[in-house]
Amino acid sequence: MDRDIRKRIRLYLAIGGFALLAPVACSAAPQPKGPVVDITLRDFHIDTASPSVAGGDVVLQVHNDAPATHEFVVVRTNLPADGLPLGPDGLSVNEDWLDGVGELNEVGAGTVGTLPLTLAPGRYVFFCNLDGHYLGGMHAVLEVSPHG
Amino acid sequence: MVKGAAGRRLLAPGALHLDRRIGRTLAVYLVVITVIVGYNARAIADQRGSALSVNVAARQRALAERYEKDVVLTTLGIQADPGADAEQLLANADALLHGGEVLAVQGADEEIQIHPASHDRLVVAKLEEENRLIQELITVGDDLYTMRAGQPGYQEALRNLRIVGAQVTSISNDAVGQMTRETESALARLVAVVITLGVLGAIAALGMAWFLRMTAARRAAQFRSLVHNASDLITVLDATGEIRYQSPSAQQLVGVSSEELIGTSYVALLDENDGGRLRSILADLATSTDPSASATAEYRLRHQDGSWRSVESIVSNQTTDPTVKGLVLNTRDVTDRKLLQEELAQQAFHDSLTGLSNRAVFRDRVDHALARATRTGSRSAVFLLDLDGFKTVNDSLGHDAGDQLLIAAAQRLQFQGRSSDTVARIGGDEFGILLEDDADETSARAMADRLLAAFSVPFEVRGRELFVRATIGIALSVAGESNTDEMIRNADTAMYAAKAAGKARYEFFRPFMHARALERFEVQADLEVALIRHEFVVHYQPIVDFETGKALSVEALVRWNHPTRGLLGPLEFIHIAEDTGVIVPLGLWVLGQACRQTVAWRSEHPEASDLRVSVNLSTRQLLEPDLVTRVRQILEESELEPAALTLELTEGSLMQKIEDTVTKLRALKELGVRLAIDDFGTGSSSLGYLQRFPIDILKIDKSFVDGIATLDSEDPALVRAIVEMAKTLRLETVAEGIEETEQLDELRSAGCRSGQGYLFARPLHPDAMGTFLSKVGEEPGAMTRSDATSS
Repeated sequence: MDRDIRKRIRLYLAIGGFALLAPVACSAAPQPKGPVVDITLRDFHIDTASPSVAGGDVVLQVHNDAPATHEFVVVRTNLPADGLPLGPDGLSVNEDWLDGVGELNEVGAGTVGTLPLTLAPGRYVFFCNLDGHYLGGMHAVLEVSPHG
Repeated sequence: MVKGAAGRRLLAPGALHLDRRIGRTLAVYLVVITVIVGYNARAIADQRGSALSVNVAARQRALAERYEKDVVLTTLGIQADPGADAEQLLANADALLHGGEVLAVQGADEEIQIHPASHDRLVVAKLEEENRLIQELITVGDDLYTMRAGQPGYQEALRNLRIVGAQVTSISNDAVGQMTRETESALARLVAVVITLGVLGAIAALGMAWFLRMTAARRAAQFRSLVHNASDLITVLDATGEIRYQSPSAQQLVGVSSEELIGTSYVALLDENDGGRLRSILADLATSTDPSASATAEYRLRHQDGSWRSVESIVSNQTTDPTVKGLVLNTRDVTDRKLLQEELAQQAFHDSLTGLSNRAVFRDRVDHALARATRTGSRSAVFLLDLDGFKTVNDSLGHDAGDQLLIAAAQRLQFQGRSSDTVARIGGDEFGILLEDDADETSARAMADRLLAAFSVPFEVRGRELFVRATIGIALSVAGESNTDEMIRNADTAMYAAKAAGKARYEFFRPFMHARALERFEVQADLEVALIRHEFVVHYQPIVDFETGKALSVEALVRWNHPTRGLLGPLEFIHIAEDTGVIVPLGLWVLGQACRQTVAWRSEHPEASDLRVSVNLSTRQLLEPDLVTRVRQILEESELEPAALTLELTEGSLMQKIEDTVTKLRALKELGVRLAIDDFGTGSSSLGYLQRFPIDILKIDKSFVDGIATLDSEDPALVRAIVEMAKTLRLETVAEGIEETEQLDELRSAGCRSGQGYLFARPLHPDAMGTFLSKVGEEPGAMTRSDATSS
């Protein structure tokens, strides 16, 4: 009887200890590497801190300073930023026709989203693809130069 | 008999304390519950408000799409009212931000009041953005509204309208989503809080229940402990008098366990002849309609060991109390109190030493006897009995011995009396006996004889046999004439008469005794002033040398020249002077007179230049602390040489305070004064004291001298023995009361050298004594013997 109780107590302690240590273990995941490019979302435009960056690992830090929630999509294209192909509703970009590099589905108002990417040299366009947002002016360009 | 009971709360102070704690705990519990309910009510109200706001916010998207559509329809020439849509969009947007009236349902007329949709910063920012976009939408819409399809700029304006419309839709969805999330998280918080508060409430309820249960248990335990440990007996009876509850103290009080008593009749424990009051109280209370009635009774309970305990019960009617349902007896053991009361009564009415009734009881009995005598004509007799020589026993053997003697005497007296007679200790060594019911002189005489006979046997005190006799005075009541004071006084007078007649006897009171007693009282009163009035005179009797006939010495003898009764001899007043203390100043006065007179004679009569003087010293004088000082003063004042003074003491007076007496006698001896023992051979003579006291002279008592010339008497031998013994002890001998020549011859042949008596001279007035002194060498028989009075 007493032994059972002791076993149970040990089990609970083990579970409790794991529960306490688990978040620590998760937070110990490796930090994204590469230079950071700060990008700010507003209603309805996107500001990029630097228009270009060296190729390789890059960390895009997306600050949503707008009251609305936004999307952040990165495509590699040589098309003009305001000339991306639109979908059938005519209110958003047709991403299927583009070379998608990465995206943040939802960047909440007042939050910062981090998007680590390995970028090959070339031209990249960022935009919010919520209805009317891209057409409202939410797009920007980032030039990625060759290494070194 | 039965009265209303005051509060019967056994546990009042402790219970009050517990009640306060329960009250405090309940208050805390109620506050917790109120907070929980209040919070829930408010949270529910908030949720309801939020739901309304979400509903209105969700309608905004549809409203914006309708506005867009209505504008387009208008441009196509189809009738629509985008203005109304715009108006409602703006009104809703404002109400969501600041609160206000909105349509309850889209298209209906009914309006409802909503509060600001949220105070959340993010929601407010989104709603403000939505508001801004709606205004932009309306601006863009207004531009399109004025155009017609196909008109230049139309497509551009339409595109702008769609873009802004999409933006409104987006932000509206965003806002609704945020509001919904906020509402959900608020709901989650509410659920958490409700669960927490519910748990807290449950804990509080459980705690409260636990506390109340513990409190009740503790109170019950406290009460049980009190009842169990109380020395008082707590009993609950049903209406038939059967014991339903009994506290454990029953074991101590009646020697039966409480378990055994349950189911038995309480009154079975009572004395059959006692407890009537308790029985009637139980009967009254059992039928009483007053629920608070109580009464008190005192009775006795029988202990298992056969002894009886006196108890006092407070009985209260608690038949209507559902927790008791019976008569409650709170019973206290008052045996010790009862015994103390009885002891106090005993002390109040009895003499603590002998256990006999005391003076107060005796007087009371005499009172009653006399009252009864007045009604029935019967007579009663009061005896007063005094122990002869008790004072001597007390003084010589100590007070403890005196007390033992009194106890033994009391027992003998009780043994002689009938059960109806009262025997009491009146005080000191005086006892009183009351004979009731047809007492007469014959029966009283028989009783007195029995009493005297009882004292003829010696008492044994501290291993010694003591012959202590009793003197009794008896007063018989006279029907209807006697009162208590008179009876006791008469018995006292008779006792005094019996003592005067020689002790160890009884006398009935006779009226003449009263006269005599009165006379004695008068003498006593006169004595007080006689000294001041110079009514005393000193006479002198010469003590003659048998060989020369010369007066060697004179004995000073006091006489009282009473103004109405003439010249009184010492027998008539000395004992009274002794009793009243007048003897002390009188004795000193005589001493002073005698010393001065002797000095005068010494100088007047050359042949008596070595004359000595003897003065009697009474018992009372010997006890005076300044005796020696006063004697010295008198000697100094009179200028009599101390060796010329002889102080005469009786054997009896030497026996008082022996140590003190020896000290005083030695001091007197140091002054140079000579000491003589008067009336030698009559008292409790002991040869021991002759050595112990510094005595110079033995005066052989007249009773021996009287028989000295009688042929068959033992007195000559006794006198010879005394003289021989005196010689051995180097004491002088002086014979007293010599009346005949034969006696003188015998004394001479016995070796006695000097003496006094009528043969030589009676006590003489100082003038006659002066004449006597001048007749030196005359024959002793020449002295006159007329006017004879004993010295």
